[in-house]
Amino acid sequence: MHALKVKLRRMVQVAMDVANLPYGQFCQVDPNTDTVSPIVAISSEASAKAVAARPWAIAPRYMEDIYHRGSCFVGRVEDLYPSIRPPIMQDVTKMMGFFYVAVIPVRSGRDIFGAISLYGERPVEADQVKRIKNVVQLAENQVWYDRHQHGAGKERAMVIAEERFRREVAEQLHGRVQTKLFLLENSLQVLLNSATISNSDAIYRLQSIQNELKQVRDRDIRHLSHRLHPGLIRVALRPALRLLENQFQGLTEVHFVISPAVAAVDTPIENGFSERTRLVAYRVIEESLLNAVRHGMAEHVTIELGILKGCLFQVRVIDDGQGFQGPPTGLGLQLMKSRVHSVNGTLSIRSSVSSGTEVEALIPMRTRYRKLRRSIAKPLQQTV
Amino acid sequence: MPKQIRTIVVEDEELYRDLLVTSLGASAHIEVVGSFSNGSEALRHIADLLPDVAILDINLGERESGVDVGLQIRQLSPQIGIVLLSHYDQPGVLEIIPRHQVSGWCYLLKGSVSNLQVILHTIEAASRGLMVLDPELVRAFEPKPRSRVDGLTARQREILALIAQGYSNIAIAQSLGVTLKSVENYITQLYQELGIEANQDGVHGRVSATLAYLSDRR
Repeated sequence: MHALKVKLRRMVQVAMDVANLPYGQFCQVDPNTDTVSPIVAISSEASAKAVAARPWAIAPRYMEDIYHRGSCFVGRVEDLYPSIRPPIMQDVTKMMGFFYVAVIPVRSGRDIFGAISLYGERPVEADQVKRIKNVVQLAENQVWYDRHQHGAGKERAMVIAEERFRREVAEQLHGRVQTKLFLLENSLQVLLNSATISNSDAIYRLQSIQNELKQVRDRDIRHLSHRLHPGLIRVALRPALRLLENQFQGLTEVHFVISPAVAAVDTPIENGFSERTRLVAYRVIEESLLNAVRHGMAEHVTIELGILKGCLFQVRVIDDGQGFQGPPTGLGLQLMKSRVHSVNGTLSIRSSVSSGTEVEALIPMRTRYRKLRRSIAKPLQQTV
Repeated sequence: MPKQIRTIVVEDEELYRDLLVTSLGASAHIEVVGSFSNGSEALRHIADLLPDVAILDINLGERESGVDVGLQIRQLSPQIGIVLLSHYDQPGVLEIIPRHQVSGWCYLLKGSVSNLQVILHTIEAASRGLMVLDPELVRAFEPKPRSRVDGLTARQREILALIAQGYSNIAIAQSLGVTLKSVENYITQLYQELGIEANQDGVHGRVSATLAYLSDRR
């Protein structure tokens, strides 16, 4: 909030400069008291003190107009603040040196985040109001960005932290644990090859242990490691998806439709998709497949990968399972949404009973790959 | 004595790296000229060491993959053979190597480190620009239904499996108990069935055949 306050202060200063008005504020409504409190106040020392002293009650109809409907107010201070009665009004305005005010609301999405108020000795003219509104538009962009980055930033940080943990555990399993198991297997083989053990029963038991170790290494650890983190995602998306497909063999029939544009971009060197994007796409597909099998009892799942308008990575998973009614709930789906949001993407899920389910993620690609549009224009025409 | 194959090893797991270097040291055909725990260090020394083959763990820790390092090595010296090592069967990664660079890339399971014959065979194949897969992977091979490989005869599939393991025509003939001429005919028919040429865009027919084998793998 402090960072935002600094930016708002700057906006108010700019508004004052472009409108040539001596005093400005940024105010927000205090929902508890239904009064307006200045978050930022810029002017002479005396006026700043006066305004900061206590929140002023705006005339109810103007409160509604400005802070709920988003209308502007341009007029006299005493009309806006009827609670300020003469002679206090005269003292205040004399002290502050202003009589007229222009109040322009600042939106954040559909909400009114606050308002920039500028005061002066003379009536505020239309031209001044227009200039203030231009600055307000800048303020609205700043507020929106700050609010969303703050919220999205937390979500992104959590997703990144989770994936980092998964990768670290998977690498330990894949690396150190695998190597140790492998060495144990080897040691058993060395023992079996030597002449020190002649008892056939002992040999048989040792061989069984060796086989068990191999199973644990080849099957159990490998499966766990892949479920935690698909190591090949570091190289590219497609080989990681190939392994994912293998995991669902026998459970459902998986069919990939990968556009030439995606194949051209998903390369081991200078991959057009960031590793984070690849991982998010992988997780969307993985979760959708799990849901299709576990809940949907799907027999066929089609996974489509394409690029829209040269800059949006499209991942669609369509199954022929039993579908579901109502809005999608469940932790897995919530996590999927968080992951997609963490890369500034959107996720949509459409399903109806007996008609299957369609999951679609749209993820913005890295800016520079928009420049490749010309070189991949031909394949784009074939994009799903 | 045939020329020794100069080899470097890039493996972040110290235990495994030592095991591999020790195994390779037992062969008179291989000279291990360098071993490294990460790709960046290996790349710094490539020009000095001038290896014929680089053995690279696919998973080199958080920041590197053997595929990346292999491609960078190839940019420095296109003739160096690359052997990718992994605990798991992920040979599909070879399918995304750019076609003009794909010759000389091989895939080995870490479990094969105790089988010197298999390692040597793979390193030799890489040094000659072939694409070779670990025999364990080939043994577990199943073709995708209705794929090109699924449509081959049993004999053709046998020969394709041996090509994918880097067998020469003579070795195939010996393994199947047929004449060399028969093997050559079989391979010609096999290429026709798979729609590949003996030498297409500078890529050897055997490499194209192994790629076809990989892409039709279930």
